[in-house]
Amino acid sequence: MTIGARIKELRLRRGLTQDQIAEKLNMNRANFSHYERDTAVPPSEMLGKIADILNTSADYLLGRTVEGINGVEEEPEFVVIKRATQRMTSHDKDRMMSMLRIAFEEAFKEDE
Amino acid sequence: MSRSDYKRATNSAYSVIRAYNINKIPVCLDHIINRLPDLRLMTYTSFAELNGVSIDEVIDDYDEYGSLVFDPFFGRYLILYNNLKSFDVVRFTIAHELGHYFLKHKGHNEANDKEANCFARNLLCPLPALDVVNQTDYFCLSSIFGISWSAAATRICFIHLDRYHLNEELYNSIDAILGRPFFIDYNFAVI
Repeated sequence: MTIGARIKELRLRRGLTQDQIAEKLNMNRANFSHYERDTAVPPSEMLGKIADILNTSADYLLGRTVEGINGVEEEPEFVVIKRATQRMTSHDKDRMMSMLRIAFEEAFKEDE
Repeated sequence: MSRSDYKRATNSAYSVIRAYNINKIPVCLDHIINRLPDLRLMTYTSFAELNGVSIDEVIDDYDEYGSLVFDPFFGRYLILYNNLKSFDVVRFTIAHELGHYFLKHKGHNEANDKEANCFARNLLCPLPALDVVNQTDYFCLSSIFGISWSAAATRICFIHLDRYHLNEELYNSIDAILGRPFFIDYNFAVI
């Protein structure tokens, strides 16, 4: 996966628009979109800022760490503090995270 | 395996009662939840409809009763609860999940669950109010405090342990507002 694809994937998972993230980075949306389309590479300082906003590491965005590889596991988007733990496949986990994203959006919509 | 910190769980429940000015029995959980900007409730029915799945699938994915979900990115929480359970079971479920919330549990294990149960029984059935009621009949406690018979039985089982852990100053401050019979409102329709 390219740097741009990783940034885009995490941005969407965090429910952020390109405008919102560009504003946090003090840049315009068009320039930010170049990073996601891999037509420009963010300089190291910018990469660090993007990683902070996306709650990840620059190493993850650069593809130096991959989920389940190099001993580094990406944190789940949502933490379910449940009474009975279940081992889930990555497909089931993705399905659960996507449902929770919808539920959180609905539950907190009047705040946005 | 980590051990449950019953002292912390017990005193947290009474700190919440004091902080949120709970002065009526049965304890109104909505009164607390409405004052927590980072927490929302959602029924299993709403969750299922929203995602186009059945209630059974929700139960399979989460729990028969409910779950607290934490969104670390935005620092917010969602309590999903099975609204098809009886009213008093729902109340205990929500109080249990509030226990996870106030005790800042970040994962599931048996010790955390026991702490959340301890928090819930003390929140819903506080000792100063129980002392005023002076009852050990499960049916009676169940109707006064809005808890199930089995929760009432557990409440009685742990009464000495909880009294041992409860800070005296906290008991007295709660007793001043809760431990009076005229504050007890038997006609409840609260979550």
